[in-house]
Amino acid sequence: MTSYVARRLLQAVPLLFGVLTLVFIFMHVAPGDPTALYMRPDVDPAVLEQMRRNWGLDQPLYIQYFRWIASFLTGDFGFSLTQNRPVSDILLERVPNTLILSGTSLLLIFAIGIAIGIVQAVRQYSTMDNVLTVGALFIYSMPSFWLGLMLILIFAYKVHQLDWWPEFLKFPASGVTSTNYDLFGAGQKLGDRIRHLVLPSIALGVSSAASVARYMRSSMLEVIRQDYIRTARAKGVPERSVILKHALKNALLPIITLLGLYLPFLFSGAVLVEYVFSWPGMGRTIVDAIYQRDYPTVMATSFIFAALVVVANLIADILYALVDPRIRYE
Amino acid sequence: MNDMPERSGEIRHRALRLLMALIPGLAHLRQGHTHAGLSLLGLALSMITVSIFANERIQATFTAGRLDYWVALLTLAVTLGLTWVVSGVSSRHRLDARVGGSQWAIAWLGFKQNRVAMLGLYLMIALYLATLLGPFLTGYEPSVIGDIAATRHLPPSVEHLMGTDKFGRDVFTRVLYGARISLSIGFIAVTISITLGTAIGAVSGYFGGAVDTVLMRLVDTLISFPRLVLLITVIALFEPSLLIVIVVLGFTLWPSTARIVRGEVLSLREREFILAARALGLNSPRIILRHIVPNVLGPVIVAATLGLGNIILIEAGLSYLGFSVPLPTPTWGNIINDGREAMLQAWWVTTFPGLAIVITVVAFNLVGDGLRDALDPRLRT
Amino acid sequence: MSEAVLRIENLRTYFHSTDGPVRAVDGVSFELRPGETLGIVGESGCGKSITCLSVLRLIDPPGRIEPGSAIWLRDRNLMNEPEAALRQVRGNQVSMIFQEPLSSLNPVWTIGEQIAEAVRLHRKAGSAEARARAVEMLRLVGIPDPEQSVNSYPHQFSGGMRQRAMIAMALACDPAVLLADEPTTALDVTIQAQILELLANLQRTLGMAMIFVSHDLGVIAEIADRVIVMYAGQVVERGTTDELFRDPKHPYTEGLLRSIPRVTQKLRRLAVIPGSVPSPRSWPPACRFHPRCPYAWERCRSEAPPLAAHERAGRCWLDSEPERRVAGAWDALGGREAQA
Ligand SMILES: Nc1ncnc2c1ncn2[C@@H]1O[C@H](COP(=O)(O)OP(=O)(O)OP(=O)(O)O)[C@@H](O)[C@H]1O
Ligand SMILES: [Mg+2]
Repeated sequence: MTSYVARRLLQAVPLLFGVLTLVFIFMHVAPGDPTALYMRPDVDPAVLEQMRRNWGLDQPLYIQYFRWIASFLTGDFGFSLTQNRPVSDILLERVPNTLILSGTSLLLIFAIGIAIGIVQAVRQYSTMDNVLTVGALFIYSMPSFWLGLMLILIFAYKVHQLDWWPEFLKFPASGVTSTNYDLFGAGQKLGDRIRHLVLPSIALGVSSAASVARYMRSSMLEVIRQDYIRTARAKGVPERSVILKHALKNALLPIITLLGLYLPFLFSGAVLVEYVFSWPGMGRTIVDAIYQRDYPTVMATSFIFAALVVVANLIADILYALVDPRIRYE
Repeated sequence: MNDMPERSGEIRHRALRLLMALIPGLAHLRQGHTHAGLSLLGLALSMITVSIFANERIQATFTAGRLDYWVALLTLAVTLGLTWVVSGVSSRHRLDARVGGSQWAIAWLGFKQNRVAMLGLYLMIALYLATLLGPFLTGYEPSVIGDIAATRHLPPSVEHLMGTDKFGRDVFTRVLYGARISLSIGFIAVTISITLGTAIGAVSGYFGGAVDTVLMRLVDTLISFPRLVLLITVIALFEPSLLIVIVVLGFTLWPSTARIVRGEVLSLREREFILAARALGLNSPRIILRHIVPNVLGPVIVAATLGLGNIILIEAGLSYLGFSVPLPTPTWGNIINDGREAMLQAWWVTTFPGLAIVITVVAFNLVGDGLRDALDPRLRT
Repeated sequence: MSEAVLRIENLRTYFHSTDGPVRAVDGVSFELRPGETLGIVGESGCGKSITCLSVLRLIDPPGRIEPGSAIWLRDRNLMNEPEAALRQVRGNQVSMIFQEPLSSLNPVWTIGEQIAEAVRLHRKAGSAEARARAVEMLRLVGIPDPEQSVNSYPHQFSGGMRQRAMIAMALACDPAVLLADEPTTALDVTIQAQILELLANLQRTLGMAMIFVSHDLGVIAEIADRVIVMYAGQVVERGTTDELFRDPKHPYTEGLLRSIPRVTQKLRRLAVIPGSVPSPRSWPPACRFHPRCPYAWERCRSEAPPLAAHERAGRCWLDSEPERRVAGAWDALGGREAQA
């Protein structure tokens, strides 16, 4: 177990360096040197010159590379031109929002996906199974941002025209909190935040939930066929426990590895969904930064996205080892 | 005396063979497969008609520049070529299938029996046809703005199947022309990424050692970036244009294919026929091209089909954010973005292009799943 | 003669598919008396496992035990019992152990948990009590250091130990009947002998009845009191082990016996019954063995032989026309095979 974790850690570190290097290359592939990106009428040429020296752009490339890595590893991501403050400050503010949104989605994805997958596997080829399969196909062929817009159109706008529609099923269309958030009590504050999370996390999550359901269904079907399930039945275990105790744990094993695969997918979706819902997270940050040609912010955000993916994969692998005794007792 | 009629018979026979080879579907018709023959023939004829008669209209609609026009033309040519190849191959393999059949013939038979997958295939063909026949299916121009006051935000009706947008342009027309961009970008980008992925994966798996390590670390690194983040980070370095979008998509999405191919190659490498080829002293590029690539073609085709659906979704996302083909060229993503502000008054502008995306991606996924079942029974669920 | 603990009457288990039923078990009857071991022997695919699973009513769709079959456990017909009552029978009164000891154990549960589960279910025992029982059972089946081993996972056990654990699990609730479906087939020869001895000992000390399935007559000879021979989903011969080995009635049994390698016949190649097991989708008409039988004549192709209701019986027309059993028929058949 320890050796397994150590091995995975040793794989993750070079990967992070790879990510850093790639981001460094992007910076230098850009037309002109990095300061050219700042060359705008309102920026004084002297400032550019100063910047060049500050960044050590007169140094050989490998020195620049090591400096870049050193500064990134110490959390110094440079200075945002458009917001006039360190990029790390912006990110510190934005990363939690993205993690909250993606985390909620992830919970939703696995809870719904696994439940549906089990039902489908247990009732294989039933009408319900077929309906869910077709439904899943459509749902995961849906662009998340369009689904987000449709959800806003229906659950934030159109429902206000229906008098019978219950108040608690009307959701806000954008932002993390309401404008009068500061006036709320503690309980109300939490409620307000949750209400704001509903639509974006659904928009972000359902397509992955559909795909988790699909994996879960085939994983469960695979497990149900195994000899040890027959053994459990031969022991007189009730069918419910056969599925939920004997089969589920085995069927979940391959699903855990998906955790690491879904995060990059979710983050891709978050870029769009945050834009649709004006959600001030990393996705929104990177898109705005690109519109404003704020390259340090773009590169730093891009790096953080990739670093989070690397870490998530690491966590998924360790989780897998914890659950699977065949690895735990290696 | 006697050989005269025989010779003319011979000539007639040869001419017929030549015709069958040249005109898609003819061979099927002769073999009695009326259904397949007519569809192929129809497909080819309609595409030829479009390329001859609708040339100016194609040119006119791709206002962004010459490049867009060439993309459209290339897609047209490739699709026509594909029809021709499929026709030739399938008419020959049909005969084979009866006497035992090749792996492909068997796969095709399997695919044909999968009704859902066939539905996807028909849907896919219909979509491509619709984009190619676009100019004939609608009387409106996609980007021409007329009398805004009179035509803006008209709800769906018989004249405007999907209503009109804020400039009074027909949404159906824009969706139809948007399909062209989405499908051709998808097609070309997938071709690039699949070719790259296959080549890199095959080289990596075949040579192993340091080459493999370096290439796979590169793959790991690229896969660590969320796709869309990687794409917009790279695109941010350039001015968005059709060429940039295609190149960037093609050059960033190959790693997953490379992984699949590498895995296949690793298992193939130790098989007898590869060992035999090596023992015969064939050189590496030859072995890779002649023996390895054909054998990994199945999984690659599946990945390509599913990848097409995926790329269409990604491109839609990019153009929704405004990082793809610039306005006024319509793409599904930017039509949705256009309708966003006025969503409450004119829901149809955002709704219909989204539905078009869903249907297209569903079609590709259906075909992809069907192909996977047919080509790789191991993966069947 | 004591009352049977288990009596199977006309058991028919079919798998229903779009191209007709697969008649895996087709009219099997036998009985099992307290404390005895009944051997079931037959080639692969003849329906041995399906018979055992049918006894526990563990047949999944598209499989179905056809109406008219009866499974008498003492005085209850399991065919008429509801699912809840069947669960009380499984693992409690009737237990089963399987052919593959690795895949038959749940890889993510400890051995102890898997044994204790049956005890908790059927004995309504608390978890400490169930665990103690698991340790006791592991000691009984000869697992070294049982206090530690209860916490092991299946992958940490060797093949033989896994099968011992399976046996411990099956016997944890003192069943009246143990169904052992080829418990030694997947094991090494030396381990095989150990497991056989263990089962024989346990059966003697615990006094349960056992059905022992195998396709190896040698193994059956060692462990069984009585034997039924199955071919193509039917019982073709039954008798005590002695009778069967000394004087086989059915040509199929004869063929099986001939295929046991004998030390005295070193030079002769191992005789195998020529031809292969027919498909359960379409059994041969009349006598199902006739295409492979060296004695077969007209009657065998047109009329199905019955199985007499005696303790000792064979499903063969030779019973009524014994003069047709000519010496050397098998060798002639072997020769024919060799020429073809
Ligand atoms: N789920 C199923 N669907 C269709 N046919 C089945 C199914 N399960 C078993 N059968 C058929 O039932 C027949 C009997 O199978 P069974 O497992 O009882 O054989 P066996 O005598 O135990 O053989 P072995 O020695 O290989 O274990 C086989 O021919 C098999 O084809
Ligand atoms: Mg068996």
